[in-house]
Amino acid sequence: MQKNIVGSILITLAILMVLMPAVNATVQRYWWDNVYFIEGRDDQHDIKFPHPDRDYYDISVFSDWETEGDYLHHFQINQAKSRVIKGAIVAIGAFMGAIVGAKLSGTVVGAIVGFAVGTALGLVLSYVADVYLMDEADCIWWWLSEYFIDWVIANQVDLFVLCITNPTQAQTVIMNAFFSVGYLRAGCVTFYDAVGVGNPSPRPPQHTLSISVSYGGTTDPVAGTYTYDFGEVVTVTATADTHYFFSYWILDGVNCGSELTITVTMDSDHTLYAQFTGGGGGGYPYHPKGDHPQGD
Amino acid sequence: MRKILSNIVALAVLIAGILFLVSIFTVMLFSLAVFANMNLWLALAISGSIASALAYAYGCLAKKLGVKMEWEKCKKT
Repeated sequence: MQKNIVGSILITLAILMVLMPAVNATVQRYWWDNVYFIEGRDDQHDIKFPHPDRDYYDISVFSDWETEGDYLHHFQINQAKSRVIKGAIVAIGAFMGAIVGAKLSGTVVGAIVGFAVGTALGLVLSYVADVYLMDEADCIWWWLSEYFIDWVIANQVDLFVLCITNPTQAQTVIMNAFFSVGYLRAGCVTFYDAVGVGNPSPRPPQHTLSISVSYGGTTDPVAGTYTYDFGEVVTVTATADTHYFFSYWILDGVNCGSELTITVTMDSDHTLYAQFTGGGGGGYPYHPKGDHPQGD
Repeated sequence: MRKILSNIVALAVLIAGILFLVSIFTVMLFSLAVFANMNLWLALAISGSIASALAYAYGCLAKKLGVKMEWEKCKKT
């Protein structure tokens, strides 16, 4: 009989372990819902699922944290709370196993068997929670639709009254609202997406750099419009023609000095203009609208 | 043979019940601690108490429906 029980437990555990998919690590940067997401920073950080970058937002793993995106509210439950939740799953599993085992057998042995089974299942569920909900620093991340939050806030008085007077109807109303404008994701699991936000995409956003030059020189890369991934650092070099010399750079309408090389971080679209001047003090003046002789 | 079958059914009921109840506990704890912004220890106490009461009720219901873990008798046979 003991063999049957032990065998059943082991088979159950084996099935559950096999069904758990491997967690894919990602090492890329990207935006999602107007929030900057993380990349693998070094070999010591195997990112379990994409979440807002701690370096970028100065987020502590020991603090609760939240921010608003375009469509979603982004939350982090701190490390201590997340670990308590994970541990509580094991504890409550063991406790409930003992209760149910004791009731079914009416003996202490039954309670012990129930305790053992409950502990084992609690460990499995805790492991599942760890894999799917907790990041590499043992913090739980979750996302909720801004539309749904706004709807709850706008209707909170009516909802409160309805919850007291007619709980069943209140439940229906809330669920209907969630199914129409709701989004709920925890860790690497998207439970529902009525907003159409989708999941974080590993493809980084791209930005354009428009380079134009005045008469009297060239740039490397040459004048034109180029597309770069977000965060990429682009170096542009100015080379003056004979009898001309380089004067200054204009980046997004701002004078950026007279160094022959300039670096541009592609955190948004940029326009860059190189001004050259001839020996006689010539050269075309800067036109903010980009109407330059050798422009793109 | 009947007792062995009965024990297997009891074990299945036990496992299913624990999985179900622990899931309810987890959702309840998560909802109270996160959505209701309740103190974590208070949320733990409330959801743990409710889950334990549900476990007790579940055990009573299963026993009433005839599910029985016959540990002692089974050992003697």
